[in-house]
Amino acid sequence: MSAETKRVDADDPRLTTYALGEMTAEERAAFEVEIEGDEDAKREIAAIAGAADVLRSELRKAPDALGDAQKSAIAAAIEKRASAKVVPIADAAKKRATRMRTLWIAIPAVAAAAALFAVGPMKMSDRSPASEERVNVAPASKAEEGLMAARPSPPPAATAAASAQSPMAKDVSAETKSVDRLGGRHKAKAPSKQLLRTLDQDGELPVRPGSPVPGDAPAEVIENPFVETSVDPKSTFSIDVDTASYAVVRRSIEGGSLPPAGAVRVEEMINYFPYADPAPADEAFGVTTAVAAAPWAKDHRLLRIGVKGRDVPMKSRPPSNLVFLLDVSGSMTGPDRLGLVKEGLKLLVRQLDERDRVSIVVYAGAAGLVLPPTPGNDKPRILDALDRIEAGGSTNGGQGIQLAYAQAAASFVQGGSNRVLLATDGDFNVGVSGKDELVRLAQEKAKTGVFLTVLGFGQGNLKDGTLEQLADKGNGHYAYIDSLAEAKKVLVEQAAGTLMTIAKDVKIQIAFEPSAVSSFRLIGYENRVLAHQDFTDDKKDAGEIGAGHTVTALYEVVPRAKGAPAGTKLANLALRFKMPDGATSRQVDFPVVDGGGDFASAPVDLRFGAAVAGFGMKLRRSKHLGDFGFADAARIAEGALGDDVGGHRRGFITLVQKAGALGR
Amino acid sequence: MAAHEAGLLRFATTIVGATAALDVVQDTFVELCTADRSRVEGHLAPWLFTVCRNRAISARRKTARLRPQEEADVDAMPGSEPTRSLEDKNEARTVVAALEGLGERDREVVSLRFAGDLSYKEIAEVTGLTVSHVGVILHHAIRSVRAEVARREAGRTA
Repeated sequence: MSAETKRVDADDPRLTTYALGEMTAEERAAFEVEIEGDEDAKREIAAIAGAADVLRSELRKAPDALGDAQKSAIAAAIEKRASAKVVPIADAAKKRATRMRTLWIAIPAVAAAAALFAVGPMKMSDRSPASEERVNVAPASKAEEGLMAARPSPPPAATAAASAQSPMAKDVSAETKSVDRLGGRHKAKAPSKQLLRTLDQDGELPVRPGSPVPGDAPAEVIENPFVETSVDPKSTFSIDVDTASYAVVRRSIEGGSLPPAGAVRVEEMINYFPYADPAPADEAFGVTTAVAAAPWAKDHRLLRIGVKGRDVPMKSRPPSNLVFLLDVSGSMTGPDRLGLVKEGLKLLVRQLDERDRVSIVVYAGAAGLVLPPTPGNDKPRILDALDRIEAGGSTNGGQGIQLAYAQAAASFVQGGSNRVLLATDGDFNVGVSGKDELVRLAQEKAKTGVFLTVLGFGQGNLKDGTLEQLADKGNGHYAYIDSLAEAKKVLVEQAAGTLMTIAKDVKIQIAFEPSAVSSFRLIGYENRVLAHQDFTDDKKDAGEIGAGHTVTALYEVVPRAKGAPAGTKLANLALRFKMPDGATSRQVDFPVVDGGGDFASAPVDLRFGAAVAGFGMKLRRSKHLGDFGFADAARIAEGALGDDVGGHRRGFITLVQKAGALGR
Repeated sequence: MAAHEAGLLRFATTIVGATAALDVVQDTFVELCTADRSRVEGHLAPWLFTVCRNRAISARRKTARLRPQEEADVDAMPGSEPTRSLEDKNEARTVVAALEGLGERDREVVSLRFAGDLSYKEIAEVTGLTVSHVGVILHHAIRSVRAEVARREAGRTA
């Protein structure tokens, strides 16, 4: 009997993948369905898990701490780092050849770095004149080169870089022999080179799952550089109303560790906070600019651009057709995940009325419609449906989002807000090419008028970057919800903005006056920078702005002359946008004038924005900050609380102080 | 840094033994000190384990020369027949002995996983294998270890 019903072969590596907890929530759920009733598979999994435990505990009997000698050597290297000069690679190797092991600590500080990041240049150093005379140290490095370069029989010329990686090699001839015998291994080891080269080329590699901050590693930390106006006086970027990065940063700091620099998106941190920019009366949005001295570089000017979307009271907003798409896979279990999703959505539902429609789609083993389109005033039914949802079972994200979009299309409201709200911990994965397909789907559906808002929950396997991209392409925004207070901010305080897009594909182009500005730098928005010609290209997607949303951008500007007279025109600011259902864009222009003020007398929102920007730059280890520190950010924020509706600015100060205590 | 100290030491120990592992890990951290932080940022674990692995292999080459009886192990090629050369010194530890019956590459993957606590993805980065290949290797390696342990235990009780 059991042989007939058996579905999973004992050779199937997924048994191990499952037993070791290496599956995504979705894979796990699908696999659980597959092995349902397959007792052999379950026994096999238990046996694998048992063997894994034994292996783990056996291998942990090895020593797990360095001795004092090693630690002081490392400390010495750390000290050396400051004074280390890059000496020519060949020189380092020559020294190595003579001094050998006793002195290696002193030399590798340079040589090891050269070795690691000179993996590419290895071939180059084949041509080095020094390689001939160093033939006596060659074999050790030849082995390394073989390991790294996938050459079955590498040329005898060694590379200094590689030899530096073999500090323990002494006997040359024996090394040569072992290298020759190692020939067959080269192929298998070759990818090391690939990895190192990837690192060398600033490639993006994922962060380890246990990292202190949720999320796949955002791309390499790149900071917009200062641009000389003589080279290019223009700057073009897409607005970004996402706020998730701030919540992610907060969660990390409150968890006791500073976030990895790559997880910090400065513009999302700045835009997390509400600003008091005046709302436009009839235009889609208003633009405010202010200029003052930069707090981290007093001779530089800080330009704040505030874009405020027209405020639409919840009551007078158009009807909404909302589809809640909830991830209810096993990984969503817990009060900070599905529990929070339900409570948060209840907050949102309470603000809806009879004009609105709510549907609920859940996805797990299969996607299912939990609640057909229900009027917003039938709250008991909606709340009850939310209450009954439980996490568990398997996942099929692809099917879920298809069903949600189909549902949104079926109950489409012309002239209304049609939106899928995806709530997930981000293990939203539909196979190998799933992410791209998903993003494409979101982009396509956005064109049909159904926008996508993404609410990220939980920590650990949150795919921060993927979710941001999804919301970006889906014409919605991405918020990370780590608490009921955060849910309240996104789903109550900013509900209108969350539910209603008032302009889409909003792009900003600034043309600085080369006569007044020698160079400038856009703070944050690193992944939102557009090519100048994209500004007027209506086919190029850009950010959306919701009702009442504020978007702030800061530029650090180096003036041509110190103490230029107040009233100097710094730039022309152009803004392009489309109406939510429009296909062609409009442009509005504003002059940017420097009032000449110092930082202390700048408008409160400029000062607070600067505090957040400084904090974010500090976390990103910006090289433009000088000695500006956490304490400066806290002090500036302290004096720039404004009305502080919702107490978010107070919370910021506390957070900065915690970060300061964690130190850097 | 401290977060990876234990994992790196355990991993290096499986390649060069406990004493040399101290030097290898020291080397690895020294190299980290000189590395451009922005390059390591976000891939610290794979970076450290890659450097550690390369250094450990270099170090072992020297060790193997000093102790000719272990040369067979150094020569073991990925996927080659199991080598038994290290068994004698680990007789008491059945599981580890069984582990040493694996091919070099398989043992390394197991070590990265269970000594180094790396994810499949990170192991793939360090070794240059694909993630699914890592999965296949671990699956078969664990099965071999289980079979070997069962065989030895059967032998012992018999």
